Amino acid sequence: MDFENAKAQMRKGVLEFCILSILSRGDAYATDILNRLKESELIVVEGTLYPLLSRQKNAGLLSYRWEESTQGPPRKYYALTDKGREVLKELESSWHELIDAVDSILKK
Amino acid sequence: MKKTIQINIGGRHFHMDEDAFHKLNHYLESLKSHFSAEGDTGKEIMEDIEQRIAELLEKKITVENQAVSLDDVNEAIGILGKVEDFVYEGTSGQTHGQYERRDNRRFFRDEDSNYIAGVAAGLGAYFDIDPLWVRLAFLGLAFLHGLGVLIYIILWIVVPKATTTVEKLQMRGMPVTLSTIKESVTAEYDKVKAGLNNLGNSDTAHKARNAFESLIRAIGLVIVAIFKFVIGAIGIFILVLGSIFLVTFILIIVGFTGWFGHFQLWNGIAFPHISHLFANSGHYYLMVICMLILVLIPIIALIYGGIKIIFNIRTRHNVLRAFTLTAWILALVLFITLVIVNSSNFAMEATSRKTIPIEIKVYPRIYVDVRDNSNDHKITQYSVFDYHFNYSDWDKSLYTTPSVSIVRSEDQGMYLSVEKRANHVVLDHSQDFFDRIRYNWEQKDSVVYIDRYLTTDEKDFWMFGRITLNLRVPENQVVVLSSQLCDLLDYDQQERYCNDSLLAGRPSIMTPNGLMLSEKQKTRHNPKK
Repeated sequence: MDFENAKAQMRKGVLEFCILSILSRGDAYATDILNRLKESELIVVEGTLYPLLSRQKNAGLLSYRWEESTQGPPRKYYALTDKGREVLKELESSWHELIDAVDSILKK
Repeated sequence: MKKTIQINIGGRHFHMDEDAFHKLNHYLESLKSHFSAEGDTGKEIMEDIEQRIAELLEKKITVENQAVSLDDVNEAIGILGKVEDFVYEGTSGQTHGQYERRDNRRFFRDEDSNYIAGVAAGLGAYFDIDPLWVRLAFLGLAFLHGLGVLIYIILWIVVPKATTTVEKLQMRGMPVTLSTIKESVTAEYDKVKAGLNNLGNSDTAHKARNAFESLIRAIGLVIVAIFKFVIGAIGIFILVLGSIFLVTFILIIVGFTGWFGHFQLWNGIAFPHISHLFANSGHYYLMVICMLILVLIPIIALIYGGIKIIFNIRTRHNVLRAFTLTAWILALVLFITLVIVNSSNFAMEATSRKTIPIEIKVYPRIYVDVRDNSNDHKITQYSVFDYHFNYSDWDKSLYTTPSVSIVRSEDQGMYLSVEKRANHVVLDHSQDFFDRIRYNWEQKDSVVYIDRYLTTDEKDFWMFGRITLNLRVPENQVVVLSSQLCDLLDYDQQERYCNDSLLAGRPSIMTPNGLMLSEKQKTRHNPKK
C-alpha cells in the first residue's frame, strides 16, 4: 500500500483549500502566502506552493496582477476570482462535513 | 581571493561565488526539467521560483559581504526544497532520471550583451570565446556573397534568446572544451561501469531483481551514449549538407544567371531573359517565387534541424512548421501548374501564310535579288539546338535567314508566299506574335527584292521565329536569280541551281522539271536571234 502517495494527495487537497482561504482574506503575493502556511506548519519546502498557484490560476480560481514594491522588483499579487470564491465555499462545506464524519467515526 | 560571477535572477543583480553559481545552476536546471513537462505553465512556475530565490538571496547580502556564497545558495535551496521534496500530484517518484541530468551547455542568443540580436554573444558564450572573434568571423563571411548576413539572420530566427535565469545559466554553463568532453565521456563510462559492477555484486536471490534492473540500466546507458554520439554526428552532417546546398544555390543564382534569368552565355553577350519564356511577366515572377520557396524551405529546414541537434535546442514551433509545410506544398502545386501551362504554350507551334502576287505581265524577265537589311553592324552567329541566328549588339535584335525555295506555280501568275512559324505562341494572340517577326520584300519594276534577314526582338528569342519563302514561278517565265540568293536556297535547290549548274546571274526558265537555263541565254551573243 502506497501510504506516501495517500498522504501527499491529502496534503495537496488541504493545501489548495488553505491557499484559497488565505486569499479570501485579501490579496497577497507568494511570500505572504508562504509565511502564513509556514506559520501553521502546513508546508516544509516552499517549492510546493508555486505549482499549486499555477494550477489554480490555470483553473480560473485565481488571477494575478503586478504591483510595484518598495523593495526590489514588482511583485505578483494573487486574488480570488468569482469562480475561486464559489469553489472555496464548496470546499468549506465539504471540509466541515468531512471533519464531522471523521470525528463521529473516531469517537465511536 | 575568490572568483565571482555576475548574474541576474528575477530581475535582480547578484555577485556570486563560482561554486555557488554552479550549485544554483544545477538546482535550477533540475527544477526546470521537472517542470518542463508542463510547457508554459512550467515556465511561469520557474519564473516565480526564481523571483523567490532572488528574494531569499537578497536577504543575505550585507555591507561586509556583497557576494552570494555557497552556504547562502544551499540555505535557499533548503527553504524551497528539491524536486524530490515536492509533493505534487503524486509524481514525486518519477523524476529521478531527469533530476540527475548533467548540465549541458546550450546555445541561446545573449540579448544582455548584444550588438544586433545577441547571436555572436551567444555563440561566444557557447564556445567560451570572446564574442569579438565571432563578430569578426561574421563580418568576414558577409563579404562572401553576404553569406555571413544570411547565416546571422537564420540563427537569429532559429535560436531562442535566453530569457529565464536557467537559460542564461545554461548559456554560460560548463565550457565545451576537449577536457570537458573527455570528462563527460568518462562520466558516462563510469556510469556504465557502475551499472555493470552492480550486476556483478548481486549474487543473492534478493538482489536478483536488482541485477536485472541494473543490466537493463547498463544497456540503456550504453545505448544512450552511442545514440548521443550518432545524433551529434548526424546533426553536423545535416548542417554541413544544408550549408553546401545553400551556397550552391546562391552561386547558381548569382553566378550563372545574374539574379534570375539573364544568362551570360557566349562572349558575355546578354542572352534573352528567361522571363520571356512565360506567357506574361506575372507568370515569371510567380515562378521565381515558387522556386525560391521550393528550394529555400528545405535548405533552411536542414540547417535549422542541424543546428537544433548540435546545440541541443528543444523548441517546437508547430504553427511555423505547419505554415512552412503548407507554403511549400502550395508552391509545388503552383510551380507544376505554371510549368504545365507555359510548356504547353511553348510546345505550340503556329504558322501563318501569306501569298502575294508579283506583277509579271509587262516584264519579260523578273530579277530576284537579296537586300542586306543587317545595316552592316557587327553581328555574331549563334545556334541553339537547330535554331541558327545572328545577334546584333547594335539594335539588340536577332537576325535569321529565311529558307527560300523556287517552285512551279499552279497557274499563270507569279507569287511570293511568306510562311511565318513561331513556337511558344499564345493562340488567342497569335497575330501579335507573327507581327513581331519582321520581314520585308518589295517589287521595283522588274526586280523583286527580298530581305536577307528576318528580324525579331531579343526578347522574342523563345519564339524561335522562322520564315519559309516560296517563290512560285509560272511555266515559261524567265527569272534571273542573284548569286546572293544561293545562300538562302534550301539545301536541295542550292545543290541543283548553284553548284551543279550555275543558274545564278543568268536568265533561267521555269519548266515542268524546275528551273532550266534559258534558251535565249544560250544564244545571248547572237543579236539576230
